[in-house]
Amino acid sequence: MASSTSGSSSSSKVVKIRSSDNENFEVEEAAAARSETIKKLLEDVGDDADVIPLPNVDAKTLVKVMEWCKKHMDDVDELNKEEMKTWDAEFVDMDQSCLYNVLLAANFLNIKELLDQLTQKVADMIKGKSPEEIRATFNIKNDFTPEEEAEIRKQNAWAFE
Amino acid sequence: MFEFVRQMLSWYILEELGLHCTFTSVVMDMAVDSCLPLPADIMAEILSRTSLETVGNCRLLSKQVKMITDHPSVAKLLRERTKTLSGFLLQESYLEIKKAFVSMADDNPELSHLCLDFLPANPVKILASTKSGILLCSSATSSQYYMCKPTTKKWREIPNPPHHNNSDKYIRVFAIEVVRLIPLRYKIVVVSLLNSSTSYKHHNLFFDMFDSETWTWKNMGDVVMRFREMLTYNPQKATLLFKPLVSANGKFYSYLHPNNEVFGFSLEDKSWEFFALPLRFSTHDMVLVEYEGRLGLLCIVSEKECMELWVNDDDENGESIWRRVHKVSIQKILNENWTVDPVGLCNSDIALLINGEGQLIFHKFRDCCFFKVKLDRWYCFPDLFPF
Repeated sequence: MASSTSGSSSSSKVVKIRSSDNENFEVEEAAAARSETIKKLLEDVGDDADVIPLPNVDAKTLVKVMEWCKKHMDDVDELNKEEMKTWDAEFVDMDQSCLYNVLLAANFLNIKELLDQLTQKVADMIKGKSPEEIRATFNIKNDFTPEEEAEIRKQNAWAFE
Repeated sequence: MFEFVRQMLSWYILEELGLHCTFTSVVMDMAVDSCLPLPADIMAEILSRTSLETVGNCRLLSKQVKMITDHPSVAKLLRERTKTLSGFLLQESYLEIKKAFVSMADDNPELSHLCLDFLPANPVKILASTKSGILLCSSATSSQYYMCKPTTKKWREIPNPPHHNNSDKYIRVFAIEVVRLIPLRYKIVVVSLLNSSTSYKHHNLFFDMFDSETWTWKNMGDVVMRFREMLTYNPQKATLLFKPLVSANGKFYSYLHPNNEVFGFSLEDKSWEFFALPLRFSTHDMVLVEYEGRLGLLCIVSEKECMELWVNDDDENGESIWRRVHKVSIQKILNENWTVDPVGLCNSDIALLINGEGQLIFHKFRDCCFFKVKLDRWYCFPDLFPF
């Protein structure tokens, strides 16, 4: 069973969370509370909470999300801002299916800053690309007839000049 | 304990979804069998972090993605993030020329004075605009014409359009098409109609086009012939309104009064088309608009106390058909205001109306709420220029 208890501050409280595939994790409360969803839940159930089940997030994804939360647990001072930026850039550099899973988890767990970083990452992936390239990135099937497509191209020439 | 947490959690999940459902419900209502890689609200968030051009490309991905791009929240966020000044210009040309700029950041209209003092002639009249912030103006006497960009205060005088010497005898409507932004290339289209009172025998309509690359006006004579042939109903009396041409779907549209007809022409294949409006109107009850890249019609049906938004589509045979997109009761607005006229669309969700006291009324279709904004001066029949 994976455990990710941090040893950096001995006084911090630890909460237990459980992934969809029934793996338990111990995370510092300050890190877990980066998730608005977990934070609200903790406020409401107080110390009685045994294990918080996260039925939408699998273990692999949860490890990733909590890695981010731990890194972003404390306020960053000016000195570390650059370092944090580099760390964040490396963090979001993951394969696409992993990226989508972490994105969905960040959405479910309501971690705004992470969600911002990840959506920006996907946006950068498609920015300036052709419709065909974007379609391949998203694995989307084209359901327009050639006539409809020509029509939209015509509209675009005007609206997105 | 565990059960309790689970219950709490599902409640939170519901609430969580509820927070997002303002956007998702709109999109998801129409697309149950989702084939998107990510939920619609996340897709919208991603799109709003790209660029105008990329969003344009995404409209071609699939029907579902196009629906997301057409949602006003995407355009709104995109503008905020790319810091594009967005909004519209209002101009009243009745009696004297008055102008105002209304910015629409965050759906909150903010009035500001539109300064065109940098132009050599003052006051000027706006004739046409583009969404990229370029204006075509003329001096009040219509003796000089300028293309300008108010945000950078750049301007250039352009040659006068043909027939300008008899400008009082003509009704003239303009439109600009931006062919390319960098380096800027545009075309200006002007439709001039000799006032029917001056000449009953011939319906003199002129169609001229200016190209910034050749820097000349060119008459499109053959188009005029076809116009005369096509106008079978009431050809002598048909007249244009002094309303800017509406450009949508690669075509320019104007309204023929009192025929209750719309004519559109395509710059690409230089063809004309005529079609009737879905209902009969007096000119103040309706206004032609651009709606999601198509020709739209915003109108007030007073006897039914409702406002309707129609969009013009082609059916499978290529015939134009009108489809009603919204029909909303404006009883509340009519109770408070003795007269209300439609002015135009601020975006695909907000209609702009004006009441008899010259107050602007912004009406949101999504939740049917409305609010009023007082203008600095009294406007009665302003024109809306997208900017």
